[in-house]
Amino acid sequence: MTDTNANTDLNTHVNTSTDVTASTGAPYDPHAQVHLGVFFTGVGPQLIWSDPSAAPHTEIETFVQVAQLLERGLFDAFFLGEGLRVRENRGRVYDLDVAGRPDAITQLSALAAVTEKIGLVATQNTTYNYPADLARRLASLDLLSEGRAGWNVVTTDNAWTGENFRHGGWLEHERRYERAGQFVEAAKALWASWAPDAVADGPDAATTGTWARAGAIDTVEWDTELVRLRATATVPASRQGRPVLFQAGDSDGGRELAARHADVVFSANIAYEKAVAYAADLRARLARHGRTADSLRILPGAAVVLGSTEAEAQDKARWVRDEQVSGPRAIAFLEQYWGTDLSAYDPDGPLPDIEPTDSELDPSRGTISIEHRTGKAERIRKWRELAEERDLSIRELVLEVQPSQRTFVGTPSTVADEWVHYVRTRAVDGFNITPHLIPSSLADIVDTLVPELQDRGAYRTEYQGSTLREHLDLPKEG
Amino acid sequence: MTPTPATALRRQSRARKAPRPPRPAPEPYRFPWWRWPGPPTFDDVCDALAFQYFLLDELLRSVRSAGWRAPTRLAGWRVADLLGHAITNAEHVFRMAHTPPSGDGSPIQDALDWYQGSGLFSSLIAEQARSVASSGSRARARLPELAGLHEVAASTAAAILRSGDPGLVLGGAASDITLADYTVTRLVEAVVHGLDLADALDRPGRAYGPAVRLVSGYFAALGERRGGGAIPRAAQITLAADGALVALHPRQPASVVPAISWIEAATGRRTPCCRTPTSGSPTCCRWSREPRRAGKEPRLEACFVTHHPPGTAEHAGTGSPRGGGFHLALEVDGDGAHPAAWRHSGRPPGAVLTPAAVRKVVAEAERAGFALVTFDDGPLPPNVGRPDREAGSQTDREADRQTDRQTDREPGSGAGPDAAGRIEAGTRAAYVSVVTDRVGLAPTLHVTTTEPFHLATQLASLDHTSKGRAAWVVGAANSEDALATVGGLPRTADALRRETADVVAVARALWDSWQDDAVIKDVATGRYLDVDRVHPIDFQGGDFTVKGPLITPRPPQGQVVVLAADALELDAEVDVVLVGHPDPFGIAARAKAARDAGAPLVFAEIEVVLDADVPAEDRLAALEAASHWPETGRLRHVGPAAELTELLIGLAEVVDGVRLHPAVLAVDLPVLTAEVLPALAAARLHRAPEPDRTLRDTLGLARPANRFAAAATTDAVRTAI
Repeated sequence: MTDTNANTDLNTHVNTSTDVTASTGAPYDPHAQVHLGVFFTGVGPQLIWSDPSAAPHTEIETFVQVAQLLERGLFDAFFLGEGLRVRENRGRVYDLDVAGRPDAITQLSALAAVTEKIGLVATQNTTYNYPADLARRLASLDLLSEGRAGWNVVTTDNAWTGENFRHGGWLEHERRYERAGQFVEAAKALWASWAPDAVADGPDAATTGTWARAGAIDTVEWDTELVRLRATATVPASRQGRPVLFQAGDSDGGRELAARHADVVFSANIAYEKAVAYAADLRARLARHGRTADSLRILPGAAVVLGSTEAEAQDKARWVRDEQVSGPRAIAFLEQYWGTDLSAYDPDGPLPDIEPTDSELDPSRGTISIEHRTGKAERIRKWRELAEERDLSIRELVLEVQPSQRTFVGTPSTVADEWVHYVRTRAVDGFNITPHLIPSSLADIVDTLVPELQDRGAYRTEYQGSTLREHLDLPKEG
Repeated sequence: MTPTPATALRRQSRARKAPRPPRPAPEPYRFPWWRWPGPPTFDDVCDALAFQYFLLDELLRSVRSAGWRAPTRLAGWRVADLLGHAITNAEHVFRMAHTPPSGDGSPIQDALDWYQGSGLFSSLIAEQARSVASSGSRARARLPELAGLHEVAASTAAAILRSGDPGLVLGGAASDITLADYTVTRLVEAVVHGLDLADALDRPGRAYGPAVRLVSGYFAALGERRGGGAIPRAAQITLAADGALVALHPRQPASVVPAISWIEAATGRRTPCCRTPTSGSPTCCRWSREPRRAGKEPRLEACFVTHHPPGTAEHAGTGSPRGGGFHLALEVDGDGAHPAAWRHSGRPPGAVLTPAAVRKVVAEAERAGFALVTFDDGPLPPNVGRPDREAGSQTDREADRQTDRQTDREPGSGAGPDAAGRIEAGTRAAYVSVVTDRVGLAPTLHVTTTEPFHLATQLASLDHTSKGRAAWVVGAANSEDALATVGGLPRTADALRRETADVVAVARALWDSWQDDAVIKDVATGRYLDVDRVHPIDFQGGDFTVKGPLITPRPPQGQVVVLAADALELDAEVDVVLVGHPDPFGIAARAKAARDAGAPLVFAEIEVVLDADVPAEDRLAALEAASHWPETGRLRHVGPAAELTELLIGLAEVVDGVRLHPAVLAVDLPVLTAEVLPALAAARLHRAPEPDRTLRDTLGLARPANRFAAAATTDAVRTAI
C-alpha cells in the first residue's frame, strides 16, 4: 500500500526528462523492457466482488483462467499473496472484503501443470515457517514448473498471526529481518547443496553405478538462536538454479534484506519521484553488497484502469473507487480508528459526533496500514477539520483519506507512454499489477495495453526463455 | 470364555511366529493329485482353512434369528441343519486325530477319494447334522449357541490340524488317509458349505482367494479322475493362470469360469458361468440348460459370483463385508517400493524428479482405475534416515535402508547407492490435481516437521484444486535426523502419539472453521462473508495451541480423507486405517480391531513383485542383488498376478481395500493394469471411480456435517426454547 491518493491523475505527471541517470543510479536505457507481474492478493478491498462479472475468487478455475490469460499476455509472473490469519475488525472476522485463499505453493503447483511459461511466485512467511520445510516446497515447485518458481519473502511481527502457529508470536519486531536473512541464507545453501553432476546419467549407471555420486550432496547445518537446522536437500537445482527471490519490505531492514538477497523487489514506491529515490537508494545498497545494478529488478505494485478515451478511463476509475469504498467499508474504516461500533451512522451523513476510544490502533489485524499505528487522535482531528471545511460525508472523507493503491488511469496509449518513461529512466523495471476486477481488468491490459507497449519496443512479442529468471533478464545464478 | 475369531486368529498368528520343531521330512508335503502350477504346501492348506473358518464365523455372527429356519439349496435342509453339519465336520477332526491307522496294509486314500461311494449327503450325515442342530435349549437361543459352537470347534480343529505332521496317517472310516489330504477335505467342506450358508442367508458368497484356488483345483482333479462324471458339462478341465477353471467342452469353445461359480457348479449347485478366454471380456455368459439351437448364441446373463437380485444394495456393492466396495490404492512414490527400483525403471536416474514422471505414473494409475494414489514422503532424502519404528512412520522404509546398509555412515550424511531425490509430496499431488478428474490424491505430510496450520491449509487447498479428491496419509517422522531438519528433537512414543492425534484434530477443526455457506456475497449489505459462519477453533493441544479460523474456505469434501498406518493408533480419528501385517490373519485381526475402534474403512498394505517378462522371484533376486529390501512388516506378494488376484479376493472379505506398493512401478504397474484390475472387475470386486466425483463418493464415505454448523443449529434451538 502507498499513501498516495488514488484520485491523483498521474497522466499529468509524465516526465520526459532524460537526465535522471544519476538520480536512479542506473543509466538511461532506450531499450529497457517493461516486466509485468500480477499480484493476486485473494483478499482486500481493492478486489470488487459485487459486480456480476467478477469471477469466483476461490475457485481453481479462476486461477487457471487468470494464469493462462497472463501467459497469453507474455507476463513474467503470477504472484499469490499470503496472510496467515483471517482479517478482523474490532475482534470479529472482517466481512466486507473478498476472503478465503489457498496455500500459495499448493495452488501454484497446480497451475504449473496447466501453464508453460509464466513465472509462479508464492508469498511465504519467514516468521512462521520451518526453513528446511519451506525451502523444500519451494524447490519442489521450481522443479515441477521447470524453473518458473519465485518466492516473495515476507515477515510477520505480530503475535495475533502467531496465534495460529506452534511458536506463537515469538519473534520480536526488530529481529524478524534478522531471522529472515538467516532463513534465506539457509534456503539458498540447501538449494545449492547438490553438485550439478550429482545424479548419475551414464549408460552404466543403472547396472553398476550409484544413483548419486558419493559426496555430491552436502548436508546443510545452521545453528543460531534464530535458525536451527540440519537438513539434506531432496531435490537438485532447477533449470533456473533456484527460485527467484522477491522482497517487499520497505523499512530499512527490508531494503537491506533486498539488497543482500533479493532478485526482485516488489516495492511500494510507485509515484515517480519516490520510485526514483527508491531506485537510487537500493542501487547504492546493492553496490555496498558487491552486486551490480542489473542483478535486481524493481517491480512496484500498481493498479491500472484503462478506457478507450481519457474520459471513459476517468469514469471507470471513479466507479472502481466507489465500489472499493462502499458505505459499509467506509463505516468499518472509521470504526478501526474510533475503536467502537459506528454501524448506526449513515455513511452518507456527517462524521460521528462521539469521541473515539483512547487506545491506539492495532495494525496487526490485516486491515490497516502499518504507518497508522500511532497518532490516532491527531489524525482524527485533521479529518474532522477536512470534513467540515469541504462538507464531506463519511464516505466522501474516507475516499479522500483512506490509503489506497496508486492507480494508472488512462488510455492504453497514455499509460504505455508513462510506463515506458518509468523503465527507460530506470526508475522501475516494470510493474506488479493488483487487479480490481477479475478477469476483465487483466484482459484489458493483455488485449490493449500490451500491444501499445510492444509498439514502443518496450515489451516482448514472445517469450525468449522458459524460466522466470530468464523472463526477468536476471544474470545467471552462481 | 469363548475366544472370538479375532483373538483366536491372533493366537494362531502368534503361534505361527514361534519357532516350530523341525519336521522330519525336509521336503514340503506334496499332494500327488495336484496337477497344476504352484502346488500348494500343507501350510497353504492350513492357512486357507483357518481363514475360511474365520469367514464362516463372521457370516454367522451377522445372521438374524429370522434366518435360522431359512431353506437352503440342499433339499430338505434348513440353515440350522447345515450349520449342524458344519459343526460336525469340524468336530470330526477331534475324532480323526485320535483314530490310529488300520495297519492292515490297505492303500492309503487321498483327498479325491474321500467321498468315493460315501455320497455327499448320506442319511447318516443328515441325521448327525439335525441332531446337532436341535441340541440347543430354546428356539430363539439356538443360533447364537450354534454359532459359538462352530467358532470353538473350528478354531480348535484348525489348530489341531496345523500342529500335526502332514504325512501322518490317520484312520478313516473306509480307509486310511494322510493328515494333509484329510485337511483338504475339511477345506472343501468349509468352502462349499460356507457358500451354501451364504446363499441361504442371501449374503454374497465369499471365500478366501487361496482357498478358492485350492478347492477349484481339487474339483478339477476330481473331475479328471472321474472322467467328468462328477462335474456337469465338463469333460476336461484345466486351471487357468488367473486361478479360474477352463472347461474344454467337446462342443463349446474353451470357457473360463470364475472359480467360486465353478465350485458351485462342480458340486451340482449351479450351472457354470463363463467367458471365453480369447475375448477377455469381463461379461460372463451362463450356459443355457436347454440344448443350443443352431444359429443362436448362448444367452448372456450376469455373472453370479454374488446372487443378489438386481436393484438390491448388495447387488450394487462389490462384495466387501461392509457393502461399500473394495478399493484399490497405489503408492506411486519414486520408481517403486524397492530401493533398487530405479535400476529397472527404464529411464535415467534423474528422470524421477521431472514433472513428466509425476504426471505419467498418476495418469497410468487413473487410467487403470485405481481409486487413490498415495505419495510417500519424508523430510530426509529417501536413502537416508533412522528407525522410526515406534512411530509407524512412512519413513520406516528409508530408515531401515539406512540402518541396514549405511551403519558406517554419519547419520544424514547423504547419498547411499539408491535414489536421494524426491519432490515434496504435497506439491506433486497438487501438480496432478488439475490434469486428473477421478483418482484420489493422498500426499504424506508429517505432523512433526510441518506447521499444523500450514498442513491443514495445504490439504484444504489440494481439495479445492482437485475438486474434492484430496486425502492425507498421516506421517509422523520421529528420527533424530528428521527432527533436526526443523531444529527439534525426537519425541517419546507417548508424546508423539499425543502430538499426532492433536495435529489430526487441529486439521479437522480447521476444515470445519468455515461453514459451507460462509461466503454470502450480499450486495445489499456489502457483506461478502457471514461472520457467524466463520469460526475460531481455539484448539488447546498438549504442546501447542491454534486459534483459527483457517485462511481457506471449507474443502469441497467437508473433511479431507485422512489415512494413517495402524501403528499410529489413530483408528478412531481417521477415515482409513492402513494395516501393515505380514500375513492375512494378522491383517484380519487388526482390521477387526480397527473397525471395533470406529475406523470407517480399513485397507491392507501389500508389497508386490509380479511375474512379468521375468518371473517375480528372479526379478526380486536381481533387485536384492543391488540393494536389500528390508522387511517393512507388510504383506509381500512375490509371484504371478493371478495369485495376487486370489489374495485380494480373499482379503476383500476382511478389509475394505488395499494399498499396493509395487516393487518397480515401470514393471509391476502394467501387470496390475493388464491382469489384476480386470480380473477383480470381472469378479465384481472392483470398479473404477467415476469422473468428477469426490474421493469420499468413490470410497462410500459420507460428507461430514460441519461441527460448527451443528452447534449453531443447537444454539438456535436452545434460543427458541
